[in-house]
Amino acid sequence: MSTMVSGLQDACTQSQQIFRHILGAMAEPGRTFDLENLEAPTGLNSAAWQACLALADLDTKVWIEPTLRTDASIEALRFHTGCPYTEQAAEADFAIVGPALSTPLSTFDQGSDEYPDRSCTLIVQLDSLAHGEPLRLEGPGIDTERSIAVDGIGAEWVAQWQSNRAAFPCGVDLILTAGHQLMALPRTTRLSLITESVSKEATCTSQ
Amino acid sequence: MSNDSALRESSPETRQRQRVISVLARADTPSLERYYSTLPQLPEFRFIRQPECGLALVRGRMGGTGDAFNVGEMTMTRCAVEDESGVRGFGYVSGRKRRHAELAAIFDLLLQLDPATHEAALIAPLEQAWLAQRDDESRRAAATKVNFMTMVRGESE
Amino acid sequence: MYVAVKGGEQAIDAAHCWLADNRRGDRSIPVLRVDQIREQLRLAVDRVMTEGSLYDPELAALALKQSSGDPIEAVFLLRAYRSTLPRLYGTKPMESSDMSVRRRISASFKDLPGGQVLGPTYDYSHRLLDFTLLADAETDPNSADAGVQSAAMADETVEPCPKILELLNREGLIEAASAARPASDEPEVPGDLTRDPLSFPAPRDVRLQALARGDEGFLLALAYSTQRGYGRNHPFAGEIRSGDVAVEIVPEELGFPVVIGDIEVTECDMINQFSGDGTTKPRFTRGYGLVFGRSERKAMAMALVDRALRARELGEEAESPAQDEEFVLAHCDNLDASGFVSHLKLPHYVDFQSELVLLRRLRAEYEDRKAAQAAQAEADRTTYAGRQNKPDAVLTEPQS
Repeated sequence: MSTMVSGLQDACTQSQQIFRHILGAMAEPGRTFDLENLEAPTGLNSAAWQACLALADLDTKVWIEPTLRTDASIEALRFHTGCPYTEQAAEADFAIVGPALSTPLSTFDQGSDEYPDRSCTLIVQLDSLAHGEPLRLEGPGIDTERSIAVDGIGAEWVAQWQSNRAAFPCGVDLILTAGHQLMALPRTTRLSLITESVSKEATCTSQ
Repeated sequence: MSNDSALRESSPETRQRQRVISVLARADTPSLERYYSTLPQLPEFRFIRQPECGLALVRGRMGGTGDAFNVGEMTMTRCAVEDESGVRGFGYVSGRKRRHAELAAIFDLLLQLDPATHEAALIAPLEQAWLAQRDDESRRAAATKVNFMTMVRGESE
Repeated sequence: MYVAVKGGEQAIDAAHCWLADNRRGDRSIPVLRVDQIREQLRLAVDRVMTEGSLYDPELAALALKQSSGDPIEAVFLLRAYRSTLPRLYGTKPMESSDMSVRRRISASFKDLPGGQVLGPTYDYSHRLLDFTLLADAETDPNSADAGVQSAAMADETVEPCPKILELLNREGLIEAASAARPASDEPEVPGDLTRDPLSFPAPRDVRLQALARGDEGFLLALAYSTQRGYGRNHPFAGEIRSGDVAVEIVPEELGFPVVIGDIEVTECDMINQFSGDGTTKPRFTRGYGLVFGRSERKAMAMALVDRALRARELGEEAESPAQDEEFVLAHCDNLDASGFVSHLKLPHYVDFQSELVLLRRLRAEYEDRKAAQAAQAEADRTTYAGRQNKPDAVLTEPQS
């Protein structure tokens, strides 16, 4: 019998703190938030694990990309959140994925015009929230524009994100995670590549 | 407790575990606390799930025997512990009773490590007490059992 | 539409302070403890749990204390508290056939397996105020009650009580408890109106959930209306039972069901008028009620209304209020109802000002019109008077 990660010591307070960070991240797209350095089950980074602990419950189906899936993570997820685990990406309320886009964003639940809030939220596991291609963010929660460079989020993400934007008010939201840090890209945020020629200027004008 | 559908159609080991967890759930906290205070020492264990209050969505059946529907919710508390070798003990109790759930989880763990001792000293007496209490209620109910006499209407002797 | 306003904090504080003082009442009388409410006002506690949709006698008693005994305010408190707790499990459906019966009666059969067990009922009390309760307030209850308790205990426990309607069902005289489904169907997850808003037509599982938490007074009145001819369905109380039922969950980590405790419930099976259309044999139909605690009146009302709401499904004309699903389900929740009625107390100053302006304008227009009419009439009179002197003038209708 393998041992189980402990989960939250003070579920009520800690899950609210995590939730508050996610709320802040959604309100300020592209801003990095530091969570506690909580032990996560094999296969999940700490921030993704904490997001699951705060968001997933009995009524939310969770799906994990095959390359990230481990018995330990599924067991811990079901044990601590009570969430039903699904084998179908399309029916997930929360999906944990890597940067490879092996499952296109359009596969996930987009919500409906009546209930756009019921779309899937993707928790993206990355190596780092820095060291990537420079990207420009614009939209609600951003004064003029903000630039990020997240490892693994490149041109293909930008292309799929534009289709996601076009489906508004439907579409998925992203929580980008690395280590115990997270950042959010809600469906309202516009994402574009900062090409080499203008990147310097963009960096200067962004905050 | 033979009436409980939980105890049907499962292996003897499973049925024993179900019985233990259910007896612990139905016990009153002071009885568990008393037993706890008699224990010389506890094995090393840690909480893998702190005592946590929440809700269970209670379901009934249409007509008592048909399809399920949601009647409402009830409060409940759960807890889980694990010893160094990975053996786990679980407590699930109705109501908001953190200490009860915690003791139930610890005792469920103990019952797996040393079944004979704790079965005889804890589970059997608790089960007897619960059954006796239920029987008392039932005998009080039986005292209110009647035989209605149907009166013949509109006729005289 | 109401508007947000600021200010009044001091007044609100003072009002709350006075409310707390009122709740406490005369300080020379001992304070009422929550466990006293739980133990001694249990039918009030049961009602609050049922309509609050949360089984927890201690919290319901606390809510009653806090609300000075107002059941709907207590329901509000309980529902609000409920929303702060995570939902950990959905239980297995309770098996009321396995109930530890405290009360079990049938008005349809005199002799039945298990017998008629009255249990603790008000049914045969004389409804005369018991002044000994007034006088005995200070006596020690334990000494007196112990004797009563042992005298009122039979030698045997209650025999097993099979469900009466199942006995009828075995003969095919009544419809099944619910429509037959192929055994291959996945384990069903009943609809949950606390997660998905009501939409119409609502399936029976959702209707039953709404009725179970619905207001007792509203459902009682609707049930009564069906008996008085507004959607008559010819009911018999097939079986009413109260007692403790085991609640089981199946924790993911165990993979088998365990009992987490027993809760007290009351259920009512109504046997209702026949259905049958020439192609099927005539048989009785059913209505069902299930509530927390001993809210028997509510369980009966729920069963009658459940049956009334099945009118269309059973090929009956649905013309009465109790048969109108949208009317019943949209209005049976007392928290919804009291919320919307009470919101009229919120500041509607802006709305009302605009209504006032409109009303003043309409009144001014009315006055103007009246004045114009009077002037016209006066003018007409003058003209007419003048016309008397000019016989060949054209006579015209006065303008309105």
